[in-house]
Amino acid sequence: MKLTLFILIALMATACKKEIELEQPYYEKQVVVDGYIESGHYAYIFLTASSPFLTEYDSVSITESFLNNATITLTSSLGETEVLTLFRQNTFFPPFVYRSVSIKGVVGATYQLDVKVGGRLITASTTIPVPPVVDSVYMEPSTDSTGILKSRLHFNTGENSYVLMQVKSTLSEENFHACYNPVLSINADNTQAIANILRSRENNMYYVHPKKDYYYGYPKFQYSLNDSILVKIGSLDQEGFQVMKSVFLDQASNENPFIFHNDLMTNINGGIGRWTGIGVAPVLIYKPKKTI
Amino acid sequence: MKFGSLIHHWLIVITLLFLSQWLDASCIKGYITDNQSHQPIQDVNIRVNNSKQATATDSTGYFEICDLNTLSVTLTISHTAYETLTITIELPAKQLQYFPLLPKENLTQEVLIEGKKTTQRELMPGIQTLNQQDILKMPQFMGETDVLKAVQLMPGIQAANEGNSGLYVRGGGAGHNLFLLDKMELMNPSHLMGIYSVFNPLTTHHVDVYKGNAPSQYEGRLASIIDVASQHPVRENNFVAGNIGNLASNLALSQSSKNGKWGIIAGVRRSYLEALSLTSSAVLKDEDNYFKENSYNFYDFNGKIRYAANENSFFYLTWYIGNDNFGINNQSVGYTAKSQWGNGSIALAWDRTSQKGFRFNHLINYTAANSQFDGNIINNQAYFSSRLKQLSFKNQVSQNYGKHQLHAGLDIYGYQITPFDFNYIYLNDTLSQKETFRNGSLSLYVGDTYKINMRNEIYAGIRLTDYLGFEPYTTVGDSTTKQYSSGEVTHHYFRLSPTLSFQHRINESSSFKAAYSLNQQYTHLASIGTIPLPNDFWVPSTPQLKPEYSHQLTLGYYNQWRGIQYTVEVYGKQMNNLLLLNLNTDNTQTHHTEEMFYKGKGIAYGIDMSAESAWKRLNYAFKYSLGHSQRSFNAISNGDWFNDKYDRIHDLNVLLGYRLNQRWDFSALWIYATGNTTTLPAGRWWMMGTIMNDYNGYNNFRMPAYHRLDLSMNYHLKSNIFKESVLNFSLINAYNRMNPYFIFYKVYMDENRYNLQIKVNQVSLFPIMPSFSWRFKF
Repeated sequence: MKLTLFILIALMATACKKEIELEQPYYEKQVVVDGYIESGHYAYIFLTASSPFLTEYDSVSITESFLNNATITLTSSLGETEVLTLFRQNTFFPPFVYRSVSIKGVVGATYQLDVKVGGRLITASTTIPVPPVVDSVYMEPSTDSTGILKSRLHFNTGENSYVLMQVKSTLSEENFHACYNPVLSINADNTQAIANILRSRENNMYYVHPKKDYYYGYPKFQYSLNDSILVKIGSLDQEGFQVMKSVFLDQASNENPFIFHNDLMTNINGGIGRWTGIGVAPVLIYKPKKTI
Repeated sequence: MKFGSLIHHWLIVITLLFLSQWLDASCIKGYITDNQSHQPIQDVNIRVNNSKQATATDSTGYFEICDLNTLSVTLTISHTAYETLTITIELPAKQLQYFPLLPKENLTQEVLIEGKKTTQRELMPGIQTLNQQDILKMPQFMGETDVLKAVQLMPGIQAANEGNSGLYVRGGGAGHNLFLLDKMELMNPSHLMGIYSVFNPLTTHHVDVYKGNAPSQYEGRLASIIDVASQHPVRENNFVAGNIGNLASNLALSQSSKNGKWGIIAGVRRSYLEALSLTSSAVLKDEDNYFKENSYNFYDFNGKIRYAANENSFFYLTWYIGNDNFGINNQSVGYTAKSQWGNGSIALAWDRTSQKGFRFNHLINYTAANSQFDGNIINNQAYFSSRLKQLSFKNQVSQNYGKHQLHAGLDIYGYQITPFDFNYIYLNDTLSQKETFRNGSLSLYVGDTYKINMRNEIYAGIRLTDYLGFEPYTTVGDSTTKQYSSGEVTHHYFRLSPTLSFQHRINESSSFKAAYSLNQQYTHLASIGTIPLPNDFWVPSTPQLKPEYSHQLTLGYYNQWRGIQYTVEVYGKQMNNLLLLNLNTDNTQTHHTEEMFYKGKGIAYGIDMSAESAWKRLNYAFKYSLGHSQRSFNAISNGDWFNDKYDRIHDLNVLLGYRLNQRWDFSALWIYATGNTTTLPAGRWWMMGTIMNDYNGYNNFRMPAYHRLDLSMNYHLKSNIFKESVLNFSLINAYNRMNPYFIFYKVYMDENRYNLQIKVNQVSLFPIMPSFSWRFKF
């Protein structure tokens, strides 16, 4: 992938772009589960229907894609069972979420999800692994004003570890979201690692007014040295890692003509998406050095 | 089975075959050659005066006329490009005759499309030949004509491949073509991401193209064989020639000794993109200067030394070496990388003809190909290289006996391939992978062209190959590696490749042909991306990667009516054991190379049509292909059939040439092709507040159609110094068509995150591209 990325950059330098019209092929809508349960926190499920890619987007169509008539049952290996409750949540998108109100994630436990919607039964299972020990986040300057955010991690499980990195920039006024290339696999032999936390936008969309983005014009992946950045790092089970890697690798390859797109992985039976158990380490904050 | 005993077995068989002899005194047999270049001439008419007997030369320039029951005969030997020769021969004739023909004076200069070539005397359908003049008259791309770009204009071969070094013949893949330069195999046929091929047009004499059906002397490839022959360095053809173009210059020379025994032809090309870097610095800011951050250069050097021991014995030392270097250093995004790829090949050949008419060809060839990539992205280092070495020893004998033209041979190959030497440092982990495969093959082949009567001719050939793998070979899950010195064969494929072809001449001007071939391919090209790249690598057949094979059936009808030559060819091809590299495997583990592939099958079928003619000063050609190519891989979309990326339903080329006078000539080429297929998400879904993709099939979209117009103008300068001095002005993509290279979606969001817009973006590589060059020869 790296090689093709380099070649892409070279080609793009001489390439010309224009917008064209394409015909939307037949597409059968899928039930999408975007769910996660973090250690010490409630379970969150965003349940939607997928849409043909080239159809119009507006607030009505997006809201209509949300499936708010489902029954979602969460069962844990610790013997707990709960039917999740539908909440409105304006800080995130889509703005409706099914949430547990009693079950919280426990490291080592397995969580089974049963979703009944539109006469269909959709199931998924995940576990919450032991979180890594995150001892620091720091900035490695690339220029006088920008740098690459890094984190030092420790692993003591004696098994392969799978890491998910999420980030929240204060200057960008964004929510927690996955950084660029947000998942790592660490071999069991390694007890520590330095992770690059590469800047990405909260979503993979282009802005109609890009200059309103604080990081407009900044070098790729780099943060301002003056930003305060919250970093949330957690562990995934192997299946969860493979699903997340598959989805984010595909997303990052949208504009790469050399990448082979194949079927995406999912751990949702009867639908698409992900049901992810995350063993989260405490959130760390990178704060800029005070200048006199 | 031991390697030595296999060689012994095969040598006995081939020796027995060579011992048989044939002779027929009532025949005249011989070769027609170019008086200047000494190259054989194909399609020369030989007619017995005052008789209905006539024939034509084959691709080696050979002919024979039998059943001559007189004391002497007079032959009229004619070809549109040569002066007609009339000669009387006493019978019984000397066993083998040589007839050199003089090129017509007015054809030694630049010519336009002539519509003179005929394929109907070729026994096999799907075979075409281009000579140097055919190549040089094509519109120039960035200041240089190109051999493969001329080949791509043949029906059944895709013409539109910007930024793509692959060649796609009748539904085959980029790795399904065999590229030969003076019988040396070259593994990577392109420079500059496919803009130029490795074949130097100034030293090229002709190109034979076999589109899926080929005689048994050729090692198999599923799609095509591109056999490029350099000119012979002979006394009548001494020259120094050159071409100075936009991006590269080319210099070639051909010289021979006074006694004509020794001769050398060589060509060298070198790009000068570095000069663009220097000049661009004067007008562009550093941050806007593409050439400041990127470097690219290529060179190649090829040649041939010829030694004529006597009129029946010739030695040739041929070579090719070429290399591309690409570098990028973009500190702002943290990328630095260097990439290099190239070929090298050297061969020693001995061609001789015995007094009894046996023609022997012996060749020993060493070929090496390599590619390297060394890059760094934000402190993560990736190194990747691929190396191939191939040593071959080929022997062929051919003879004509009555109505038979027989040939047989033995080829021995040895391979050492390191397909994927990979080292990636990421965080604290180093991922490494390296395996070297050693393989060999022994092939025995025999073929016969039998002239049943004046109207019907048949060719039957078979190639038997024993393909072997040697230690060390590590099976999956087996960490032990045995020593090569034991000589043990680890795996073994015994394969047959038969070819059968038939031609029926309906009348003087029309014929029908049919051919069937079972092609086997033992070395496979693995593409690291969905578009062929120079860093693609070759892998041998192994226990898990079986030889690819295909069945191809071709039917052809050929007609010449009122000076227009029509051809119609229908083909069907079924391909098996196809391989597709899957680099998306979990890279936390070290994999065996064999595990990195999807395995599948393919079908392709279609019809290729062409019409060519000349009318006064105007020459024209229409070439149209209607085809379909599909693939199926078990691991992709549950094995469902999907359209191949290069599945093009329509592919049309229209060529026009007009010669105004001795100084000016013009040509135009219009290309139209159905758009390639591509994989795009059909659906979208939300995850973590952003839009993700959902696919409902592979290659599920078709890009917009490809078309462009190329114009070319030659001005022939008068000179007392130069034999030839031509200024060329070319305009590629004259109406600035933005042809698709790839397409992708962009999702735009305004301040209201509920308002999203979907845009489909198309990236095009080459806008209108003027070029200028000066070609000279003295």
